[in-house]
Amino acid sequence: MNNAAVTYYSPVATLVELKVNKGSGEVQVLNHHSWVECGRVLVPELVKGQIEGGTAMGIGHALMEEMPLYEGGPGEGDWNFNRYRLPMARHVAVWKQTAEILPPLSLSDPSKGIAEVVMIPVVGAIGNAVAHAIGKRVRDLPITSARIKEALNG
Amino acid sequence: MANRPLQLTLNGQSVGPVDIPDDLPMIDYLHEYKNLTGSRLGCGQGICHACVVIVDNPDGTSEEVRTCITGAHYFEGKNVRTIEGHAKRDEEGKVTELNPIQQRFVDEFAFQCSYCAPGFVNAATVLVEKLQRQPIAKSQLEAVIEDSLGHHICRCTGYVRYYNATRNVLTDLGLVKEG
Repeated sequence: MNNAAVTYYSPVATLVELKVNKGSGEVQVLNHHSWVECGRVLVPELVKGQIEGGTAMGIGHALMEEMPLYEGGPGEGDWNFNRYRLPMARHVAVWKQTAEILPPLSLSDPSKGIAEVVMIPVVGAIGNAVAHAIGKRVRDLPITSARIKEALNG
Repeated sequence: MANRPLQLTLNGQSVGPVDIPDDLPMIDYLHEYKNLTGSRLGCGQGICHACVVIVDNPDGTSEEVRTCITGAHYFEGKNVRTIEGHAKRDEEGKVTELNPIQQRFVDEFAFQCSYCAPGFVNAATVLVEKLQRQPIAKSQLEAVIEDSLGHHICRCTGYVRYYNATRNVLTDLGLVKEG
């Protein structure tokens, strides 16, 4: 059993290409590719749509989206898009990104469901790619420009 | 707050004059007075663009206008199209043909939860109309789409299908020149 208490699940792997401006701390995702093995596919377009959407959510989780706890956090109910940033098309390599749906493991393989599982590996891939780019680890999410500058200069 | 009369053209039909509050946002006018609920209230701050309508200007151009931060009276005398106005309908009001953007978005599974979709359809429709007046070169196509759709927020599609479908429909309509 994995940590979602299931034994049969859809594994995903993701590669990310990005660049970091070491002066400003800004990260730009240039390209990414995911592999998804989800058993028998019923509607390929919907699976691909989930892959594209989940990857964008993961990019937001890795680089932008932050919800601090307690006072001043979104629990106060006055947060909006003016301060909660989520990825726009320009942040997700909209024209370049690719993904592959791997074939079922056997002819009798059922449909396994994927939900937004694709948003998981892209976060680790971005964390590793940033570490490769700047030579330092940022250990808190999201990996903001402020945290990158702190890792480089702190 | 005082009321004032508003008259405009909405999806091709003359509306009003009707007395509405001075400070009524356009999106509330559409939702509460006209029962046109397709324009979506997202942020209410003019950031996400889910609420945009199309205004047809007298010079033949069209543009997006955000209805959450624009008062209904701004649209006095203007020609406004909402998401409900794009498809062709029969005499009973039943949809018989979608506009090319809507049809392509359906064909390419661009819609997911659909909350931001009316805004994207309107933005892409404005872009189609702009390119109908002035086609562009293929080399500019992606940048032009980014300019036209890039300010719209989507939480769930990841944008890829909206962008690819828009590129494909512009190409198929013959609005993109080689080069």
